[in-house]
Amino acid sequence: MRKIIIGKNSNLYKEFKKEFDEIFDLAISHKDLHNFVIKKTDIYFILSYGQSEKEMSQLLSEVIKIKQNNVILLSTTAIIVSKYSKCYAYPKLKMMQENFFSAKMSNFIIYRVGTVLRKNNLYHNRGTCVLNSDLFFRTLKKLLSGEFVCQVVEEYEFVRIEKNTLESIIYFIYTVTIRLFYKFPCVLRPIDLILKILNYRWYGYGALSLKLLRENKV
Amino acid sequence: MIESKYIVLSLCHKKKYGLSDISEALVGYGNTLEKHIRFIHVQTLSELLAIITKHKSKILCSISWDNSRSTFTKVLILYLSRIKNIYYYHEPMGIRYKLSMKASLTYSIISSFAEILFKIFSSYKAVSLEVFLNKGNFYLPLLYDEVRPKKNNKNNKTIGFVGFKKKERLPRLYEDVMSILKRDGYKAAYFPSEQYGFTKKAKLKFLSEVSMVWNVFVSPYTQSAVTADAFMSNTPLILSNHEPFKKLLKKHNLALFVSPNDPKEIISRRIVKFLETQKNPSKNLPKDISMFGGSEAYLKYWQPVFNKIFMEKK
Repeated sequence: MRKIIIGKNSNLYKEFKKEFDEIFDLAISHKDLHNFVIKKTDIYFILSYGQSEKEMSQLLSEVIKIKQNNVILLSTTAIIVSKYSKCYAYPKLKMMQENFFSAKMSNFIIYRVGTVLRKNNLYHNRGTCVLNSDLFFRTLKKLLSGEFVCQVVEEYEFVRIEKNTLESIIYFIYTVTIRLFYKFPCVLRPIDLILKILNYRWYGYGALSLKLLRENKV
Repeated sequence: MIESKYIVLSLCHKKKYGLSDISEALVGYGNTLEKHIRFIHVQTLSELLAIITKHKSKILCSISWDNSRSTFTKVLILYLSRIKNIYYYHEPMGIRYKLSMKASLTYSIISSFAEILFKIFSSYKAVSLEVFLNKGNFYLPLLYDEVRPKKNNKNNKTIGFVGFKKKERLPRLYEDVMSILKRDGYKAAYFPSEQYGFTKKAKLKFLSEVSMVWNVFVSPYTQSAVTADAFMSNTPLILSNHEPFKKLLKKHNLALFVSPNDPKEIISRRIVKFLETQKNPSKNLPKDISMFGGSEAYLKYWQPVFNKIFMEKK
């Protein structure tokens, strides 16, 4: 039984190469699937996604070759945003990927996570959905050894912005505003640009997805 | 022991169908299990006035189930007649809870105000979950009929939706999932409806015939009578993780938990798989049903409360 990563060029794989290589036997690009010999017992973990709808369709046409295998698709908690708005490309493309899996694949798990970061880097993405890499790899191992029934596993945490700071005030105003415009968040794009210049990372779907998830928090 | 002369009134507006069923269940258990108290289900003001006029001294207490104006009038009359009322406090989480259930601001303010009035004119508050005991005087589980039609749902491939199509119960998602499930021969069924009827008897028949019942909530809730009614009928449910009786339902293999954020295809595939591989409920099911909202629940929780009120009256 081989455990194979599809997405060797992804940032996540590059960042955590050592940890991934401890669990998986092989890492390939989705473009390699074309000539790749697929065995029935292979388990795949998909990190790849297309940067545009066209690229995504190409990727999915390759992925269909492993339809009968056990597959884990890495997805994002930000997908909740695309239920209401098509403003942001990344959640929209991930939604497309999830829908494809739900309709076409046989034995799969969709693993939705916040941004995977090392424990000491979690504060960099404060105010958004994140996931400690230790927890990510622990769950991944569990999923790989478990049953591949079609299901969604969701895991995220969030790091609060330090209270009584200018950033926390701006964050509060921004999240209240984006929640009001959650169906049309693109109206806040000019503000996003300013926040980007200020080097905040929580603007756009980062803040909105956390807000929506916390409202539905179980 | 309570003497034979006492009466307990169960007050509910006649158009609150779900609560009326619960009120009737209490009256049923009370009249069967208590020798010395007569329980009366009161729907109209004239009924109440007739009872007060004839038997005022015999009335031990009353229970008010809903927040309607007509029930409030009854509670007020009972208060002026110095008869104790137990207010069934369904939503003790305050106005924020109502707003989180997507209720309008106007409705949330009015119903919160009504709750305050009911609390002022009632002697006791009862809550439906033990976790809310700090907001009430007693924990009194909602009661449901134990006698139900025999299960008759083999291969009928029907997923039922019981009650009003309120936003928080995701009727759109239900319809979308059903449109996918139609390919596998499943059909949607609604109660109440022209096809399946409107009465309590029709509801029990409906629950005994459907393969599963949809009760997926988008946000946390205190308790849903749909879950309880389906459980009492031993009918599996499709639920969200907000369900307060998750553990109990899991124990009896009567629940499939889905997330409203899951793709519809996944939800429908999981429903099919659940029904294909459904395990038998555990042997303790009848006992757990009785303790959940049947005669055992009455004897354990309700009876001591009536005894306590009797002692106070004495």
